[in-house]
Amino acid sequence: MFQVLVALADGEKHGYAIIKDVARRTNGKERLRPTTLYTVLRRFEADGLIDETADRPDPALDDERRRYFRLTDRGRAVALAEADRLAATLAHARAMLHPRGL
Amino acid sequence: MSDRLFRALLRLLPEDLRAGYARDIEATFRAERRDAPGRLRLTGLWVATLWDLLRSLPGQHWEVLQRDGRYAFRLMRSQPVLSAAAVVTLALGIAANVAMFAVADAVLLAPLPYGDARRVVLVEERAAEREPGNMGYLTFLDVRARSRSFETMAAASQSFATLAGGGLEPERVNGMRVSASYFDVLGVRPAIGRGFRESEDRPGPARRVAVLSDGLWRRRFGASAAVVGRSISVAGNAFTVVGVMPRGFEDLVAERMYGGAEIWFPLGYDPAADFACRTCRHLGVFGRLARQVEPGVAETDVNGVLRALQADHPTQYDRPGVRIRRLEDVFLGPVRPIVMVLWAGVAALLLVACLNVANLLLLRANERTHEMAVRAALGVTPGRLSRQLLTESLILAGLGGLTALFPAWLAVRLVAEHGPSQLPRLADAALDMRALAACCAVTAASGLLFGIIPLRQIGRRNLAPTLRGAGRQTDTRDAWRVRALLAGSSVALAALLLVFAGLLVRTMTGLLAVAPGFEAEGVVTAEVVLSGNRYSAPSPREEIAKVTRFYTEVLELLRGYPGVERASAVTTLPLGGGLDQFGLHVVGRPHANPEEAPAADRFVVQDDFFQTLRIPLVRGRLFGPRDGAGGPLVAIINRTAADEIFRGEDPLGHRVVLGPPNAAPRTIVGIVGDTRHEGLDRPAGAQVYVPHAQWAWAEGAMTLLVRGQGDMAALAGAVRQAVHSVDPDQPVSKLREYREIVATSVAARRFTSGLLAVFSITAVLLAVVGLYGTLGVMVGLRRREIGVRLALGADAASVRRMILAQGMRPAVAGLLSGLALAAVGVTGLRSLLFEVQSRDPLTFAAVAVLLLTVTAAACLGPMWRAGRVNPASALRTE
Repeated sequence: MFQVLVALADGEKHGYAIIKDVARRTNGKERLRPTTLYTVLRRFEADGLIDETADRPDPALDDERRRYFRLTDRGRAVALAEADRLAATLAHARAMLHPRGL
Repeated sequence: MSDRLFRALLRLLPEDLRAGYARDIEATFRAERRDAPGRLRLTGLWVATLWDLLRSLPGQHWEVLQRDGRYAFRLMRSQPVLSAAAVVTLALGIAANVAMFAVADAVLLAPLPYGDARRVVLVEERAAEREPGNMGYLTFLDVRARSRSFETMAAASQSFATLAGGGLEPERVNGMRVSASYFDVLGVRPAIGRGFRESEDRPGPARRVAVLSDGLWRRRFGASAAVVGRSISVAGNAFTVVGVMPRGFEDLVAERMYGGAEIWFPLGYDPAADFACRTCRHLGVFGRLARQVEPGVAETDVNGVLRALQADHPTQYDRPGVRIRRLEDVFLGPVRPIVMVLWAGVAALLLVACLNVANLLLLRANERTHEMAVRAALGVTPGRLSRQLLTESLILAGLGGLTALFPAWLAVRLVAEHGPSQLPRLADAALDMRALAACCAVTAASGLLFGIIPLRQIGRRNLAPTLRGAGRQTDTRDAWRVRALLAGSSVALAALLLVFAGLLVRTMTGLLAVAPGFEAEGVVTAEVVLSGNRYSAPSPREEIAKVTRFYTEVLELLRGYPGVERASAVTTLPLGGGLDQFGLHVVGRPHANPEEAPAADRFVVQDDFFQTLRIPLVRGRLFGPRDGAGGPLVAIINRTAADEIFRGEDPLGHRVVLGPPNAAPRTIVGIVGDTRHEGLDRPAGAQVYVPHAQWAWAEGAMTLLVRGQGDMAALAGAVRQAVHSVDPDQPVSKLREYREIVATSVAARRFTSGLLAVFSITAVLLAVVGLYGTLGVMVGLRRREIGVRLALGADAASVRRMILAQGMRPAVAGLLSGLALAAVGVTGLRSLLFEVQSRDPLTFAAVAVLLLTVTAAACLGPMWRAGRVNPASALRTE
């Protein structure tokens, strides 16, 4: 669900936008479905990683049934920490896999 | 349409997720649908979305359950006394029901151990004046040959075998002699070897084959696979084992009708033999009904055969008929009422427990009204609140169910080991997977039952006034009505159980007050079955002499032992469960059809029999030394035989014939008191006693009776010693005190009445506690009103009267309802009652007085508290 946090990193989005963003960035490998997504969003909201934003887009583009979510400072910190962890894991793996002297 | 469908599917989600995000989920799905043109992609989207929804459901609901569960446990910890009371109360009711299920499962619900058991029937011949019963061999052969209703039929008789050799002590085992088709009738094949062939079911050496039970095979033959073909010694003769029955084959016929037979031999009757006659009714007959044939149809068929036989043999049948019953009805029919009554009892007990717990939860719900109101104001829906309350109830029930497991297991063990032997297969009762499943079902049902009541109360209530601090008075009245109804219902169920228990206790009292006609206290009994070459002889006279000599020597030895007052022996023990009836013909009063002669229970006795059992002499004399083999043939009859057969005439000096009309007549020399024989609840029929040495053939199987003082174990030891002194190879079996045998005859009723008494006392206690608690809470909540009444001049006595009336109203209503229920329900008890009407006014009145007294006593505490309310402090507190 790290992907959901990353999707919100560049600004607030509604649920469908998050789904499309995750699918695009993972080249279609991760396809979130609405129930799973909103279960995750509810948990993130309860944990203070995201919150609902009052900002709405242009009414012509808006759907009043949708809610928009944004990353909180805490959520951003958690996402960064996870990114650092993944990077460290990747660096360690590369170091182990490359032969010596190369 | 697809929007509606999707919205409907979303209703599967937990309410809080749905409340917060259903619109978003729906909007997102609509957007995905727009971006999925084409039927194929749309179908794929639906499938993926559905799968996602269904996959996430268990996790969602599990999360909610965990939250509610954590809250429920926190709540229980904050009210430990109330929670413990609820759990213990439920555990009582659930344990009783689970134990009862385990017993009923083993006794009633488990199928009989026969192939296609519903087709296996008992065929009993009936004559005009006689109960249906055994059949004669020639009758059996004709019925088998001529009836069209059976696939196969078989006859069986009791047998005994003394097994010797193999380095083991000689052992007497009960056995059966059966037709070759017996195992086909039962639909069970031996696990090893085979059953009997038709060629073995005839007299001669071919008959010397045997089939063993699994228990005997393991116990005596080391479970050796090489047992088939092995020669065994049975009463000094060589028999060949041809088969072993399967393990787990619990033949109820062998167990209940033939003393627990462990070995089977071919019947092997010669149709020309004396004992094979049509009127020698000593064979049990069993049949496997042809497919689609009902017992009623088979009865009509066999009745036709018997009428034809009567036409051919008019002096050997008297208005013959047949009764055909499925074996399951034979064995389970008599015990069904017992099990069903007990099951109703535990169900009522569980209901009382649930009502009490519902009352406790209502009290708690009342105290949580403010909490519920705040949560409702914060947006928690009634559905969500209800789910939480129900979860709390189910967790409480679950704890009750878990707590019930050990008591249920213990109860099942106790009943299985010490319950009455009249309940077949009781020893098989166990807390198995089916009982555990029943425990889960009962637990869940209890949780729903007592959970629903407070749920409805919260659900119906307008919680808004509670936030303002108002409405408490209204709440009290509403809650009081429900609580009063619960308390009254508990009293009703307690009344029902008390009536049942009262009727059965009166039955037991009546039964135990019945004089059996003899004194069993201080008497030890033991069974001896003489067999083998030592006791056989070419002529019946010599055989009788050998057998009589054995018993005479044993009894002489016994009478010489210290502590022994009297000793004797008899073929059939009164109340011992055996039945041995013969036709009794009065010489000079022939019947056109000898079969019309009355039947009498026959007892072949040794000297001193009447003195040993203290059966009183009414008139004439008892048997003495002159009534031996060479003396004039004599008989003694009982009072009932004298009244029914001789109708006011003095029977003494009359001559009677016992058995076939051409048997030797004997003179009646004495009349003795009646002895109960078929049961304490069955009056004595005609009974006739003959001296052992004077019977027509040797009676090798007798029960020794020893009356003595002091230690019964020492007497039992003396019996063994005396028998082995005369014949060291002679086993002695069933050594027990006679009073145990008499107690066994009423064991089933005693068991039922005892359990019902326990249930009813428990139910009364629970009902009284519930009423006391309900009234106490009401007094607490109406303190202000009571304070106002007292301040306005009412005296304490009138306040107490008001509280008493409030408490007694539901109690009286419950009592009347319970008595009305009992008046209807007692019809199920009729077969268990003895000398008491099912709607016995005395019992009903006693229950009413008892319940009125205890419920009035339950009101005393709250009455006292109400009368002591201080008006000033009551008004100030508000």
